[in-house]
Amino acid sequence: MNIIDLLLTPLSYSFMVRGLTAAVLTGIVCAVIGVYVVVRGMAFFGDALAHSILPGVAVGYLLTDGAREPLFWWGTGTAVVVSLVIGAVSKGARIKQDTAIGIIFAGMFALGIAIISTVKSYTVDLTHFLFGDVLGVSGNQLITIAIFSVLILILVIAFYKEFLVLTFDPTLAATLRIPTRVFEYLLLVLIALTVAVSFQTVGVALMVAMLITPAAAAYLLTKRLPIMMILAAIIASASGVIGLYLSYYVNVASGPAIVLVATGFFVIAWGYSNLKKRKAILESASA
Amino acid sequence: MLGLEFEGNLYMKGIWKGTFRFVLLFVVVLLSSACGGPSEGYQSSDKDKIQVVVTTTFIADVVTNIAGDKVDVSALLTAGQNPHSYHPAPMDMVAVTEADLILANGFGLEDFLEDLLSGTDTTAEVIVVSEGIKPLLMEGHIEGDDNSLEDSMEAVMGQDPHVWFDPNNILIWSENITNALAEEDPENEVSYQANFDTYQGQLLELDVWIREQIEKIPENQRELVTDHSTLGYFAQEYGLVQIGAVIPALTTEAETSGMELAKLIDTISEHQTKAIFIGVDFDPNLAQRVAEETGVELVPLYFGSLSDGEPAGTYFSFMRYNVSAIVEALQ
Amino acid sequence: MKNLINSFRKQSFSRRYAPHVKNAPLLAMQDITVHYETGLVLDRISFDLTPGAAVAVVGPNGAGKTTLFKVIAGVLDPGEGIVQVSGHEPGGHTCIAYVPQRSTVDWTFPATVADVVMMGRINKMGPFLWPQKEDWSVVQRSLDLVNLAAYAKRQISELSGGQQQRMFIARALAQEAELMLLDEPFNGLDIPAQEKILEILATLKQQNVTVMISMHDLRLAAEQFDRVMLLNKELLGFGVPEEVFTRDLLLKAYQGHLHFVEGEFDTLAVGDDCCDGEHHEYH
Repeated sequence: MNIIDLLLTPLSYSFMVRGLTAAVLTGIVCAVIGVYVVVRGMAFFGDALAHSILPGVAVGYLLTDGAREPLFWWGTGTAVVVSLVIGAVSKGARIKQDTAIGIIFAGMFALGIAIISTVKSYTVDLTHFLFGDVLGVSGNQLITIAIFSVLILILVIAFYKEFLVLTFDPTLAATLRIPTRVFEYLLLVLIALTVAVSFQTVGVALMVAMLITPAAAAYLLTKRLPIMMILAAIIASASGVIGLYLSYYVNVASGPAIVLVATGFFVIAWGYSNLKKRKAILESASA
Repeated sequence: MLGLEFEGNLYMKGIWKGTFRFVLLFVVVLLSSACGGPSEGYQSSDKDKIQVVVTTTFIADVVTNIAGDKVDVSALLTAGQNPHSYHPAPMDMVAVTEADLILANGFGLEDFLEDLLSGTDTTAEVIVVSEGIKPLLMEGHIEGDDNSLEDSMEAVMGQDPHVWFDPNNILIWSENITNALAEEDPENEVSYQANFDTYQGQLLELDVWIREQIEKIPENQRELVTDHSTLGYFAQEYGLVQIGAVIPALTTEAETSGMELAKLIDTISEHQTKAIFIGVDFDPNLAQRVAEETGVELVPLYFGSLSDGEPAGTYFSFMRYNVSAIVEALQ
Repeated sequence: MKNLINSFRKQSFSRRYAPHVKNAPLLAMQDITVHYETGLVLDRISFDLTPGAAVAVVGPNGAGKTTLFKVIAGVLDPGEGIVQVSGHEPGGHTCIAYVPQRSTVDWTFPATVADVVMMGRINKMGPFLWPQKEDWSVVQRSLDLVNLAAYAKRQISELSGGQQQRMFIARALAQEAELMLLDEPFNGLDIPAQEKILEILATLKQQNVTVMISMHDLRLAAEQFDRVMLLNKELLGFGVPEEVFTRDLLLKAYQGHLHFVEGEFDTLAVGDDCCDGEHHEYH
């Protein structure tokens, strides 16, 4: 089989095409939002949020007797609520924010596992919740993912400047009369929506990787924020596609395959930026 | 991170209230779903009767046919329960401790059994009812740790445990069970033997009936596509071929890959398969995707256990239901 | 819930540009009082500022200088009292620039100097709008004014302390602010850097921008500014240095952490350990 065949064969199956589309879409969204997560140091929050949607999804699963489509809305609802709660708790701060997030994270995740454990016959879905089930994405689900992805990206573009100022210098934002609280919570909600949208592709346990790894790799390669977002999106899409192809031919689970490819990109970026640094040091030393 | 010094305590209160209600809802749902929890069907123990604890509903059904009301029988795995996600409840452990006889399927189905036995220190006699059945081997593997059980129950990687799809295997079960019962309770041996004879007749009748039904399927359609490869014994005995499965492994915990799914889709179009047989206890999502892509119908069958009541509450109704569904789909 | 709606209403999306009342003082403070959990921070501050004034605000740590600036900038709501900028509450104005102490910003943030200066202009653009040509030329001019034009494309992580400060001033200029509040801009700067800032302040004065600067160096304040303000929770003095920096008032302000060095007129030293025990820095 030549290389063209290798590339084209999976595409003749609609489940692969759907899976690839879902992986690319969610990769782009995760990467763009992930840039904010990385720059603001919110990786733990992102991980906590991802794990916290498990009880919502589990309850939805129970109540709809195993139907897949409503799970997206249950996940979205839970994610939005949890993100706002964590946002509010972070401001109150009698305990360190780190601790507060950790408590919510662990509690919600445990609740989710507990609920799922009461359903004796569908345990296979716990794996899908945790690690993704991109091959099982239906046409309808793909449409939902697409709509929400576009919505998230539009909001990021529309309020790019506001988020930028808010992230870099909140006091300036206040001075410029930008409604900081609104945008703070809006950003949290956007992260929540991202988590809900990507849940099916990579699952809860690996979501944080899709949020931060492409963005972190991009951060090593550029210092301009818009370029960082574009680079991250490219890396994430490439990871999604390559990961899925890998999982097809090598017979590994798809979610972990995607994450491993993204991590590989990060390692390459890290190596490259290290080399650049060394070169620069050497040059300035000999100058 | 979100460090602005705005005071907003009333706003926070609002959030807390909402979350509190949400959490309350969770807890309520959790509790109500937990009520479907651990094994049901424990009869009040009558010290005169022997206590028989079995693993699957199939075994329980056979025991009931052989022993009638001379024994108290209860099954650890309830209808629809996945043996790989089974965690014994305290009541189960009590039942195992007080059991006189424990019957298990074997062939790797019950990976929880070893721990359960050692955890309860039971003095019961443990019998593998599938002893004597020639096991089918499968390439798929069974999840779980290395099991090296007591000599009578070895879990070997790759043995297909779904022996109950062939009434002839049930016949072997019945022999083993009758012998075990007779040994444990010699007083009632005669009665057990008589019931066995009747039951044997019924099983043979079933076997004949199945062959008649299979005849109705055109020769080139005697192929099976399932969601998990569970019909090995049935196919072997009645001349059908398992040509593919959505998840080509023995257990529900296995994952599938894109390539395997692609192969399955190709197989289905080549063979012009008419139906994919899915277990009512399993998640149909992947099977639905395959069905959409290939245009075949999904036919639900009972796989892992009898149903609670109709339509597959006894072994006979279970087999009749499944065979009828298979024949109807493939005709 | 009502509070939630109110707080959102207060932070509405519309960029209200409060009209400037003619002939109103640029800044009018009346009985401004602020309480924190830890106690009283500002006690009945009242003063007026005319456009074009340059005021040095001095006082020990914890005197409330930062808090005062935040109230003026409209970032902090005072508990009591009235603040008016050109006749209106600071809330509607976007002509007030507040440059906080440098440590509050993340210097590893991926942005160039020009990017940061452009941030000062964003409330001139709404959602979906991007910087236009004229925005970039304003940024260029601001950078020229502070002598950072060469650094426009550099990462902010490459800047020295003095350059960072000048960048913030450039941003305030890009904001086309009429009132600038600089919070301890001279901290940690060497003499040449300080001089550069003082030059810029002179230019600002020419452009009729009103400036309030907080600092610790009393000598610098007395030498470079015609108006000074002495603050320690209450307004101890506001006027020309000779009148404000009297022995009595200074004693009151620094409460014993003061060593007077007799010599030239108004030369004195303040102990470095002033008020360390009750360090109230509310950022």
